[in-house]
Amino acid sequence: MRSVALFALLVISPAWSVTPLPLSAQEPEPATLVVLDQVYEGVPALWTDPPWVAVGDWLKPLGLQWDSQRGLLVLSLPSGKSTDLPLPADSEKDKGKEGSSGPLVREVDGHPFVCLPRLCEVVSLRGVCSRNENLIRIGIPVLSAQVRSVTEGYLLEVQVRRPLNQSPKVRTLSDPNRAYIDLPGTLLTDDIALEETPAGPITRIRIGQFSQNPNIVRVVADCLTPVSSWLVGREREVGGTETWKMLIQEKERPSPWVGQVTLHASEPRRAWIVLPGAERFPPSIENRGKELIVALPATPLLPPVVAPLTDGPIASVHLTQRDEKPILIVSLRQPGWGVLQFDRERGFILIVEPLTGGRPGALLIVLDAGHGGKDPGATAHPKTVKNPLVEKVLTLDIALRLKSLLEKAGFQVVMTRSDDTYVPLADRVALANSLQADAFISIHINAHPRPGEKCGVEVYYWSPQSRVLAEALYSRLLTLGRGGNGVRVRQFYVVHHTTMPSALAENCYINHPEDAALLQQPSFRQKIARALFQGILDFFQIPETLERRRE
Amino acid sequence: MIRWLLVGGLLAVFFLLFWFGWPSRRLPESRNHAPPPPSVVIYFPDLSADRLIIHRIVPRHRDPQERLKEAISLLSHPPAPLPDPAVPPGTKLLSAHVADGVLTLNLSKDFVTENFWVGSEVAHLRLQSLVYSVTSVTGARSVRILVEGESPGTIGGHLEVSVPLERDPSLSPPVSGLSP
Repeated sequence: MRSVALFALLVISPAWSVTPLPLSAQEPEPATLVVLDQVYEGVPALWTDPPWVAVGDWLKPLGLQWDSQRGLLVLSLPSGKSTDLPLPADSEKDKGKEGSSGPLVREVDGHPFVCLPRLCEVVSLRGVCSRNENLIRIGIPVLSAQVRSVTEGYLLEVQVRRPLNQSPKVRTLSDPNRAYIDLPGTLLTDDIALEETPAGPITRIRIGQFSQNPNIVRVVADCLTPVSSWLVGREREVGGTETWKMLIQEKERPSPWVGQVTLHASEPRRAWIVLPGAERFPPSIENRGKELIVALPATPLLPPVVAPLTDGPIASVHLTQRDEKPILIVSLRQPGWGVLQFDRERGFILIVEPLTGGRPGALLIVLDAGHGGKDPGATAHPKTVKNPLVEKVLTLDIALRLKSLLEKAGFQVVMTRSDDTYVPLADRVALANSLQADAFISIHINAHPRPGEKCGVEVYYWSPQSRVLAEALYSRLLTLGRGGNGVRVRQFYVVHHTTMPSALAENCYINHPEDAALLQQPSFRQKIARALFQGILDFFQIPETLERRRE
Repeated sequence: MIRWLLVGGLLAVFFLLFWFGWPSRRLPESRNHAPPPPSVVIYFPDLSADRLIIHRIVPRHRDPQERLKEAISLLSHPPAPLPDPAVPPGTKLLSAHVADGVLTLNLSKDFVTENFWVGSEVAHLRLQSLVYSVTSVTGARSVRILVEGESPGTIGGHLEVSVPLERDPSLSPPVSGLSP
């Protein structure tokens, strides 16, 4: 790094049109170019003062592209529009100047070359050259780092000169205890403002160039005690700078927190909202037709970023309070529903889908007839029935009846088994997950080691998003008049591993004399199917009148 | 003759007192300073009340592996009046070890007796009885179950045993004694 030179931020210079270099110019040599977090090998470079680099793919991470027709650089803006570089106002100032305050682009042997200092200035970046290593690095300058105390813990705030292309990574380490944030595509500069005021468990803040290839600056918070850390979000300032925030909590003092609520993506029939937070403090969701009410465990540390909402199922997202507790009101363009899933990297993800005015045509239900083939499930032969009852036979019969009801109402239905075959639990789950089904219903018949001791229905679920479905099914199953033993959270395989709302229904006891006598009647099995069907309609908030009309 | 018998009797009494100690001194000593008998809690399923029952035992062995064998033997043959076994009768512990807080139990194939694990809640309570008991005996945080050295994946068409199992906090708190 003998000839390392920092490009100073320069006065914007005017001439940007392609003009030939002097004959004395050197021959281009292949160089390694590290642009933000991307590496480009063998890029032709002129090691003059200032250095020039041939236009190429390396411009893409900077949001730039070379317009060969017009012979100029075009910058893509966040709005989706683009602008030519440099701006016309700067072009006049540049005329007649050379070097780092001279033209942005020149032609060498018929190929356009870009002046690196000028480019860095125009797109607010910092460049570092190493002639010995044939290495040129272009990165985003880190401007400042500081710690701030908040109710939920301590916020480490790191400001960068322009928005990062990738989210930073946040980790904690022990021995000694510390938390750090890695900022991809960034370069360390001399003029960084580092506030080293100790706060809580944090004794000091350190900053360094963790990696030069690719460019990564690491900011470390040294701590007295073991800590947990999370990325909570970012704020973009008017001048184009961006501040990323990392929450640090002492492990012994966990408290609920919510990061920046962000619209992750929006498609015509599905939208994803990210709610960063700790798994142990989950939000809860209430489906109300055209509104989803998300009760948050804490007030978000940053304002939501949920625009633009030009299409997709969400009309607006509003953060407010109910009974002095923070809630998120997600207004939908038409009746829909939402589910919450947890992702270790991003936190909670709210998936929102429309019901398209009560048309269940787009809804896919996976029905799982319990057991099958070599696995008969429970068997019984109470005195009240003529032939022995076998669970796998009853579950398939009820599932087929339910399938018929759902299809008549316009649902799409896929069965995990349609005959007496053995299907491993993992395959049942994989089917539903790969199809991205809207609901998964597993149908079983219960049993007890002491025949006749228990009767009635039970419904099981695992994830919070499945609770509403389980309650809807249970509520309808109670209408069978056989009593109920409750809705319970249990880590049964099929409800644990399915990614959509899922429930396992135990529809009466095969070895209870009265339940068994009813189960052997096709009409009672039809009643069970009908109860499950109505529970599914309730869950999707599809008016029963619509279903009756179809019948 | 009688005098010799008395002398012999007195010598015998003194010998016994010398050998076994003075009873009025040793009894209080053992009461005050001997450690209380170590006991562990075994949990049995109460399938009538959908919860676990606390059953305290004094293990016959000090070796942890032997204690686990004793616990699993009890769980498969519950002592009266406990009505319900937690694991199928005949289930034996083949080997066990603890690493990073995870207890790995290698059980005999009797463990996967299919008609034992019918009924989802019944099966869950039985499996949790095993998890609660062996974590109580060993202090492990979770339990990985192997059958003849291999993971059975699932049992009874409901339960997942492919991952280490922890105590289910959603169960009703275990109680001492059967439900009325």
